Formats: sequence, C-alpha cells, structure tokens
Amino acid sequence: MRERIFSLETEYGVSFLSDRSTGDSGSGRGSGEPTKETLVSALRHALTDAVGLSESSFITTGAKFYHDVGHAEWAHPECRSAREIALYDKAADALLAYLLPRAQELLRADGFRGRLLVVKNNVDVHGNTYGCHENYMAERETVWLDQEDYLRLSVRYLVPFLATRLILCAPGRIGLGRRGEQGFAFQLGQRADFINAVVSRDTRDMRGIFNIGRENEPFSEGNYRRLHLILGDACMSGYGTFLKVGTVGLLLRLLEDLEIGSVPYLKEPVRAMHTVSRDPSCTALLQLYDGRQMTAIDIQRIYLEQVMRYAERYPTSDEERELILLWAETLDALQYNPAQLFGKIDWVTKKSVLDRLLAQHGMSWETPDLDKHPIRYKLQELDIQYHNVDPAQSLFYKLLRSQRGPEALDTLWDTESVRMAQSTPPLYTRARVRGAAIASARRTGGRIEVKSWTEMRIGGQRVEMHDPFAYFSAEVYALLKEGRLPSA
Amino acid sequence: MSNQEQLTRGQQSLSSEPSSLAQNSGMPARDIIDDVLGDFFGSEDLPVETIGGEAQQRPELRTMRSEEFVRRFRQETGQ
Repeated sequence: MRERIFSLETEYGVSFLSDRSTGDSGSGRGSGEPTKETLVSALRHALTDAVGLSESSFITTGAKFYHDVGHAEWAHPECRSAREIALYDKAADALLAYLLPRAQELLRADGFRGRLLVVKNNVDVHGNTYGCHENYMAERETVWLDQEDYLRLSVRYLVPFLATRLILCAPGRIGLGRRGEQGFAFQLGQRADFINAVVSRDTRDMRGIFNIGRENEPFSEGNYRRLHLILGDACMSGYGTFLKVGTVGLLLRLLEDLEIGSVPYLKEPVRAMHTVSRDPSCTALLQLYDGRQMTAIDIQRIYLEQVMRYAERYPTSDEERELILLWAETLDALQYNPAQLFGKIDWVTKKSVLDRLLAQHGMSWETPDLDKHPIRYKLQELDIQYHNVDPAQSLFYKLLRSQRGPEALDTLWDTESVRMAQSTPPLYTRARVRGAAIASARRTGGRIEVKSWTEMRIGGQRVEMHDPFAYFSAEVYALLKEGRLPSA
Repeated sequence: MSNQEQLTRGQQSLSSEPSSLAQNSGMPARDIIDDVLGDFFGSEDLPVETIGGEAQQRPELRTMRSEEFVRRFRQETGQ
C-alpha cells in the first residue's frame, strides 16, 4: 500500500480560572462555575461562527469538534500524509487560540468572569488522562496472511517500536505515577503511566500499547482496517507529530509488503515503556525475551535500518525519504547531543527549560525534598503552560518565537500554511468534499447535514462517501450547483 | 491564487526543504532560555493583591504567583 489516510483525534484540556481574587465569582447560571461542557460549548459556538454550521460538529476543514467526557475533542480531517496531518493538528491549536477571546466573551455574557484556558496536554493532576489517538488506514490482510494472522503479526512487529518511540515524540511531564504519587521527577511521556496492557480493545480502563478496538471501523470500503493507536501523547511541536505519525506509516508499508526483518521482542513491553518514559538519558537497558538487553535507541535503530533497506528496494516518496533522514538524525542527536533537539522534540525542549530554572536556583532534580520547595510551583506552572494553545501565555510559543520570530506557529510548517489550514480542507481526500459542502452552506445560508465521516444529506438527498481518497464528488457538486440547499 | 493553490505551494516548498534538523542551530545560548524564563516569571514577585482597578477585574495569568496558578488550576478547575 503506497498511500494511506492519516488522522488524529486530539483532546484538549479546558479550564476556567474565575476572577476569584476579586471576590466576584460571577453570576453565571447554575453554581457559578462553568462546567467543562459549558466551556467546550463556548468554544464550539465561536468555532461555528468562524468556520462551521450551527447544527453540525463538522467545520470547513472537514474536521469535527465536540465535547467528549470533560474535554474538547478535535477529530482531524482525513489527510494524505504525515506532514499534512501535522499541519492540520497545528492549525487546530492556532484556531482555538484565535477563538479564545470570542469564547470568553460568550462565557462572560453568561455571567462567567475569568479566563478560559485550552491546554494541549494529556493528563491532569486528578489522575485522569485524555488522548491524542492516531488513525491509520491499513490493509486488513495480505496475499499470504489472513486477517487474524496478519493482525497478530502486526502486534508482534509494532509493539517493541511503539513501546520505545517516546524518545522521538513525547511531550515531557513532571510527576511519576498517574497522580504524581510516585515522585516529583521528570518523565518523557504523559500517558505512559496509564498504559497497562500490551493489547486492548478498550480505551478507558485497559489501555494497550496496541489497540484493536477500531479495526472494524475503517470508514472505507475494501480490504482496509483502521489502526487506532491510543498510547500516544499530543505534541506541541509539529516536528514531533511528523515523526510520530510518519514512522508508523513507514512501518505499515513494511508490514503490508511483508518486508519485515526480525525485531527485538521485549520481555515486558508495558514495563519497558514505563522505563523508557522515566529515563531522559535514553540509556536504560530493556530486557528482551531472548535474555539480551537493549536501549530504546538501539531498538529504534533496528527498525530504522529495516526501513532504510526497504527504501533501497521499493519506491518511496519525498516525504518518506525525509522521514527516514529525520528519524536517523533524531536518534543520533538523542545518543550524542540531545541539545540539538531543543525546539524540535517537546520533552527535550521542556526539560532544558526546567533544568535551567533549577540551575538558576542552585538546584537539580536530585535536590532532596524538591517537592516541598516553593520552586515546585514554578516548575509545575511551566509544565502546564508549555501546552497552553494561546501563544501569549504558552511557554512553547515563547521559546519558538525567540528562535523563529514573533509570528511563528510551528517547528515544521510556515505560519501562512498554518493560517490557511484553519479554514481550508486537505486537498486530496474526501474532507475536501465535506469542507466544500459546508463552505457552500455558509455562503448561501443553506442547510446541509453532515451525518458522519462518510455521509451527508444535501437538499434532502443522501450522499455517501466511502472512498476516503475521493476528493471530488460529481454528485455533491451537482447538488450544490443546483442550489439544493434549503434555507436553514 | 486560491487558498487551495497556496496550500499546495506551501506543502511543496516545505517538502523540498533539506532536513530541518540539519538546519537547526542547536541548543540556543543559555541566555535565550534565561530571557524566556525572565519574561515568563517577570511579574512573579508582584503580589496579586497589589494589582488594582481594571486589572484586578480581569487578572492576567502572569499576574498570579506560580503557587496561586497551580493551586487554582489543580483544585478549582480539575485540570
């Protein structure tokens, strides 16, 4: 399979800091504190005004935005490449930041006075986690293996890679254990401590390194499944998103062509993942099934070498070749000079700043009773504010802009492209058809219903779109051209 | 040029770039991090109660001490 659909479901933490210091907690409806649903509703209202439809969760980029169990979920449009999904992920952050003032106005109109925070992280201090789920269109079976055997092979092949890929793309976190109860220290991953199974169907109680819960919801016809990974963290840096998603895409190609070599099987994959997360030096030795030991970098290099051998024999895209180069350079940097990754990989960037703050005060992570020292609050604030989507408040953006200029929004994409992707759908997937229909309805004041990722209703006529690569629909454009959009 | 054409152009121009890591200047000088930290915590020593008038009605995050920010974030908002 040479081409596939990539997508992400990014969940944002939403919070409201009321103006308590004034003694005025507002006169909002209900208890005086807006619920999470109220906060997401304000954001959705602002989003609808800008790029959406009042009766739909979908917007003109083809994405879907909604409230999901206390969080704001942004299900991204179908994208054709890892670079493209990295763009749309960043555009969502930027659009939410742009809409914050409007959402706050709406909350104020309802009597809630304070500041709305939207944070792109994956864990809260109460021991809750929210995800950044990854979706990959993948072949269901191969010429040589039936569905069940192929899935088993996929699990065996990908788990050692997935358990160690934190070093490439983790965001960094202060606190060990789900609620930080195991120590006040830095670890790479935010969701790592919540991963408690090698394979799972569930996404809430049993969270697997490899999830098989969406295999039968491919949103496409034919010999396809949807690989739905739930172990990952959201990246502030587009560079991290690109590596996170792109490396999985490369390995899926090897699997689909059955060009995989032997890989080191981890004796205890979940424990290994936790170990990797708690080892910023990237030197911890992980136990293998055959008695050997390897570091996360060693294991990643084995996968990289297999991909490089594959690329010598099979045609690859410019993007895939760029990914191979970046993967190699990133592993080299992690091994020999991690500082090179400052501003690229979130956990490296965040840790550099936290380390520096500690050094300014003559302290380090080894300082006794660090968790009882007042500096903990500065460290924790930075840990949260790194992920604030508002560039005016975000540590990530302050660092980015100190390196790349005052308008910079991303490490991977230029600002003009990010701005464009806030309202324009991906060009070469069905998201373009969906987005065009929504944009048309916004222009004409007409009404369409976007029922799902594969179905719309235009002028009372049902339109199905089962091919995610189909970026043109004569049927849809005919309906739009005929003006079959009854007024809302 | 349409939005879509511009987006296509942006993608092409970026995908033809050489490795961005190779172009990276690496770790910024320590004083860059110091500047960002200084900027970030610039108002840290300013107690909330000294901020009056309009600012007090709509406090900016950076007018709160870290302890206050973290406490509110943790205990009052559930994040």
